[in-house]
Amino acid sequence: MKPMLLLGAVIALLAALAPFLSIYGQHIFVLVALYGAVALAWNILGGMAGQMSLGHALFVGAGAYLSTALYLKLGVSPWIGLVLAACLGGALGALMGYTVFRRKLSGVYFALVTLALAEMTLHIVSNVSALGAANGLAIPARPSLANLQFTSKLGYCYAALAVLTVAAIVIIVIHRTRLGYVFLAIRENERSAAALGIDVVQGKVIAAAISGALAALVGPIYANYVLFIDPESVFGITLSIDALLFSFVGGLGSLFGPLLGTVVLVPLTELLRGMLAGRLAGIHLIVYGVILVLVMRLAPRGLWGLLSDAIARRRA
Amino acid sequence: MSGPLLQVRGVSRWFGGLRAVDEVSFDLESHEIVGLIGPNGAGKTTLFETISGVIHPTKGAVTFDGSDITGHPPHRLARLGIGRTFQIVQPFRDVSVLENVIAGVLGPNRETSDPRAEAMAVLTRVRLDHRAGLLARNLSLPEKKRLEIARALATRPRLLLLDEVMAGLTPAEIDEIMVILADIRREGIALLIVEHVMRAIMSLSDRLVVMANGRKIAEGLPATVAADPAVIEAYLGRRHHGAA
Repeated sequence: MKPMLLLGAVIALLAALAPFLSIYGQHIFVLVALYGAVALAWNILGGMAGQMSLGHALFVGAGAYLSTALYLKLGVSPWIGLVLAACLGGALGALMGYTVFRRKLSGVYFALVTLALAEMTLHIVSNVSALGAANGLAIPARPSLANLQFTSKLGYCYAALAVLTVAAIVIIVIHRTRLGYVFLAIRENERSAAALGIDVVQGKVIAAAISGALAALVGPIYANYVLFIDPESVFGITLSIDALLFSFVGGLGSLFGPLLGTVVLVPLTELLRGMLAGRLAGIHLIVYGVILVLVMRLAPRGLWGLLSDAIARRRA
Repeated sequence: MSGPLLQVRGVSRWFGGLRAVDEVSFDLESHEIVGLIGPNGAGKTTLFETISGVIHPTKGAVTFDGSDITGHPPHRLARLGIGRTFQIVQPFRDVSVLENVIAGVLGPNRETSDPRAEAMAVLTRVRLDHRAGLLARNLSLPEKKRLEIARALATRPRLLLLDEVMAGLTPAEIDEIMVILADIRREGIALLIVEHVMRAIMSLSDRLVVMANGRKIAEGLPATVAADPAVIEAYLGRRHHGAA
């Protein structure tokens, strides 16, 4: 029960903290929570089950476009859109996993297939006029709970925090049940996993489905926060890479390392942009890159590994 | 009682023109230890991997407990009650020894009330309980071999396939494994052992199956097989009295 209690305490603390943040602080809060949820979702497939995806934007984008299109064209409530987004993300994940893993492709091949699928979807959506093509879709501002729109940023803080909480709960439940060991065994050694009675293909497909469903859940919240989506922002490679990067920097495979990575890197990006971008174009990205290299060099097991080593040393 | 626990019937596996396994048949009763021996290249490993579902036989059939399991994938065999170890140990390196065994307890997806306690009990059986918290990568080779056995035991097999669990061990370490295997048999688990350590396989096995050039050349009690001229020829060559 301990991890659940700890999670509850952390979420309560964050929820209590949010009202006291500045508007800008709340903006960062929303970004961290949403990116954090994507990173946690990515980590279920990439870290826990060991199958690296380079295309998680596919799920976020599919979720964002599904709920937004349904709302704009058919007047379907974004709440229903949110549920449908998760279903679509899960179905896409399962389909993607089944087509690739059944052929015993994994590692770099799986990564390339996910990258290709996300990019293909980006270009297809960019050419569908019903979805706004490359111009994207703008959502008219009609703040109300029914529309999943809020008058203040605080509302979005809580919406984003809720999605993050769902992802965290799913991860804890996986970790404490048989599925957690199925993922662990697949990640560590597929031959041994099969010899122990684990259906490796099925396990990977389940991981992809759960991961896709959770990532897709972020899409509608993001769309309603920004009130505008276009293919590049939700299907783009940048988002896919971010999910992977936050997980690597935070600590691959650890349950909440990816969240730690997000908590550090997202504000860092914003900070660097604020401090440096005005002086020399692109300099903030260079500094960001240098910091990433340093973290990977000095903490190959991620910030989470660094932290747990430090705690272990303190105890010893 | 129904028939034998494991029946191998005319199993062949050809790789192009090479008949790695050629029409091999034998039975294994529950509670029995059968040793599978033969010189290098005899086809033992191919036969072993055919029984364990990794390699599909070109011809022939394997039945377990009366039902046909020919060509079943490894995970289904494990769920039916066939556990196995690997010649080159394949632990889950970056997790604890205990977690390795819990994965074995949970792998076949059967009802368990306390996987952790069950895994701990299995570790005690192979005398690895004092290493439970260690990362598997940090174990010594003999300990890794025992972990390999523990993980397979955790799936609650009725038949355990052991692929050279004693290779690379010192005589003292081999004795330790032999004690563990004798314990396992006493619990009613049948064993099929591929092994090069003659001393061990002669004293452990109830029966031996001897292969050479893909074919079964002898089968029977260890003492009988050891005196069989065909077996001696396969191991030492035809005119062994004159060989240098």
